[in-house]
Amino acid sequence: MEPKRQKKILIVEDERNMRESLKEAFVDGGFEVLVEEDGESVSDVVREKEPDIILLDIILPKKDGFEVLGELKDDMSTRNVPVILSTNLSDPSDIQRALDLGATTYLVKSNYSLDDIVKKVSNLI
Amino acid sequence: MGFIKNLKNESKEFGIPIWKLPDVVLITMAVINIIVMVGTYFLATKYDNDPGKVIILVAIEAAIITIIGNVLSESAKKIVETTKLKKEFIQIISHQMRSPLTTMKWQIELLKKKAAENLNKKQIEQIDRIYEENERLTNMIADILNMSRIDKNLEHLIYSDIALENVVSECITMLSGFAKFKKIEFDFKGNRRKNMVCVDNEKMKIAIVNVIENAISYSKKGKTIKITTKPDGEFVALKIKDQGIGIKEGEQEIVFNKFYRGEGGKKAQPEGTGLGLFMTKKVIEQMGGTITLKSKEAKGSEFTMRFPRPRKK
Repeated sequence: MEPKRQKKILIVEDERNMRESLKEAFVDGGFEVLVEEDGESVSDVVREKEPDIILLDIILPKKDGFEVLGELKDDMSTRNVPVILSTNLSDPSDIQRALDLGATTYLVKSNYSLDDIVKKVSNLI
Repeated sequence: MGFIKNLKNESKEFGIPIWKLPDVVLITMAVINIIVMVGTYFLATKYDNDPGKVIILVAIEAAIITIIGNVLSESAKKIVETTKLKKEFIQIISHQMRSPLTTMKWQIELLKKKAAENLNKKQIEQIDRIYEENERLTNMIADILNMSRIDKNLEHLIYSDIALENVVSECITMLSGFAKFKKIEFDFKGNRRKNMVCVDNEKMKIAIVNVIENAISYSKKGKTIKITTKPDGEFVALKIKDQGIGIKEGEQEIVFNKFYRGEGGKKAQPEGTGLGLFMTKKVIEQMGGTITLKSKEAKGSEFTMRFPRPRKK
């Protein structure tokens, strides 16, 4: 039997401490973790490194999460990678916009523990 | 045309009708003044031989009214400005304050997980307390944000026909951890019958969760919360009855006021914001429903929420 391949996640988060917390939790959860601090080169990284799932913040320097999501969904090679938009914006119109753009799901960070986030992501891939 | 476009934009931005915008109020006032002056002139010439005096009087009166109108307009502008600032402030709270709180929560979680074996019982308890307080602050911010949205009617209502019992079951599941912690049992036989209501699902959940959460918070360990649903004319009534501390007679009418906290409530639940029931009532009324309360101090409270049934097509 082929050994189970380690799942790869790309975390796009501009706040350092938050990014480090997420990274640590996913490493502990058995993931291979890639990180990006802004939205600028997310599409390139996704094409090159082919993560299994993306945890994408909305408010990002250079290019915001909505824009990045749009790019990913427009590109045939990246459109099938599940994207979880993670943010602390909890306005229903933002949630709706994220889902309309093709996000797999939406996550208000302050509502979740790290354990819950890792579980939620694991269930999606 | 540019002026009218501006008015439309302002009306949209601040969420107030065009006729209430300060500039429109001022113009309306001036027009009324002119009409009154002309009208008075005709009346005065008809009934008095010396209209000049009357006109001077009326002119003075008009000037005073205009000055008052101007003051009013200034105040209205100030209110609009304040509303804008409040909105911005809420945005700042939402984005800027929640993030560090979330990071703190996650770091505490990691610390507890990884350092647990090197810590004694007392130290773990201390970490748990920091975590709880952080959660409390996060919840308060969520409450304030929810309130501001509901208060200013920023959210659109999305109506759908749903079974009230299903939503209640979901709310109970959401609160099951808290109920377990307080050893509270639910007496809810919702699965036998389904009563359809026409509501905004998410908003109804905010309301029901608030009331059940209160029932748990204000009950002593080991008590039961009874939840029933029943058709009630055009509505479906949802009753949530607890065996908690109850609410004093004099306080029952004002528990739905913004920031109001009852004496008993403050003792039993010091971290409350006094926004929960205010929001609940606002949400239910927005959907065309009602909420009423029956309570006896030291015996418990019974909240009855009525949600509209779907209209027959």
